[in-house]
Amino acid sequence: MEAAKRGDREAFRTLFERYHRRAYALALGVVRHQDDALDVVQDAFIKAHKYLDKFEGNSSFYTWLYRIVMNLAIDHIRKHRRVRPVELDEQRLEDGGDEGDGLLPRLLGGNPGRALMDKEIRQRIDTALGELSENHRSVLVMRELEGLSYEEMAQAMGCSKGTIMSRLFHARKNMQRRLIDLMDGAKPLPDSDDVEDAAASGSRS
Amino acid sequence: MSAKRDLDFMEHADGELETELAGDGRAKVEAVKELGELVRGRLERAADDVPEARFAAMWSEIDKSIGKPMVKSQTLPVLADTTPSATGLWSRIGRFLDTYRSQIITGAISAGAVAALALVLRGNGDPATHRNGSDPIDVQRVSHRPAEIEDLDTPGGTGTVFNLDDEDGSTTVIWVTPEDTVEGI
Repeated sequence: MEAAKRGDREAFRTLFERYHRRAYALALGVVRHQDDALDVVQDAFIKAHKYLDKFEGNSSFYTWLYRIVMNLAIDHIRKHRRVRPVELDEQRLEDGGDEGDGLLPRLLGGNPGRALMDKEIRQRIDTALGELSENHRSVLVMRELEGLSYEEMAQAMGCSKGTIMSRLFHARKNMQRRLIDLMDGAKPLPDSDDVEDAAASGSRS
Repeated sequence: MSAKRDLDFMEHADGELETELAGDGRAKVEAVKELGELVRGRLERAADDVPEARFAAMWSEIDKSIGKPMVKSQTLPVLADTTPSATGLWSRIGRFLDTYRSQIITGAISAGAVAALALVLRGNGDPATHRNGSDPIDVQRVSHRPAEIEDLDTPGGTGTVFNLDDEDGSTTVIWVTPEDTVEGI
């Protein structure tokens, strides 16, 4: 890292080799298109290099890089937002105003690795991710791919911790709903009166 | 069971909250974790499926973009210029000659022509020189006899033949001007 900051191109290349796929997975999770994700990663590394002297080393290089990737990915989808028809039912789900369903207790029989061997399941996951709103998807990807805390995600997205919790909750619930027919004998639990309020009051920061 | 409770389960699954788990609560936490593994696994696999060549091409573009401002090339130009091998030296000389090729050719031809003229004129003005030579008569005869130019091939230039006549005879001068010579240089 220090060598890269001093301008050693090979050192910077080493950083690229170490993190490019991880950065790509993150970008892909947000922008959903391979070429767009590649563009985002490329721009992120160029930007990281440009501001390398401003990196203070308080966090890891990747922590710094993923913020750049996330910002560029979110910028990208905002700039290239495609108008797509949104069904009322979907909009209701995205807004969190669903029918009181909460999280589901089961998904794929406890063997995700095995499930991912199935091409159809991979496609279903892709589709389900693609149908989430940008905000829901971004939070879900940050959490699942990078394991960020709610507080870290709130900082990264410039919103409150309660908002992050609400988005994450709905993202997960909507993913479960979209994958429900893959599930192994699961049934939704009743309830969830007002998740937004609960998330707001549940932000214990 | 309330949304608040489900949020607690989610926080528990994310390591943000320690809570008592039992029955469906435990199942929901497991389901959240399982979904997380599915999403993570799917994205990581998608990243693994991208051919390395795509990333190699990406690095090439990044390298081009970051190339100019790199400190390495800014701080070490002297090192780069002062570590030539023998061939590096010759290649630099070669590059120099290539750059000034036309001027050098013109200069050499001009110098040759002037030297030829000087030799002729000097020969006329100082006969003793010729007399001291091995064959002054032949020199004088060759110098004052007009040349017979049957063919003049000047690739990359224009050839001009001058015959300078005086009371002693004629002197032939061949003047070659390279095509890429700029007047006045």
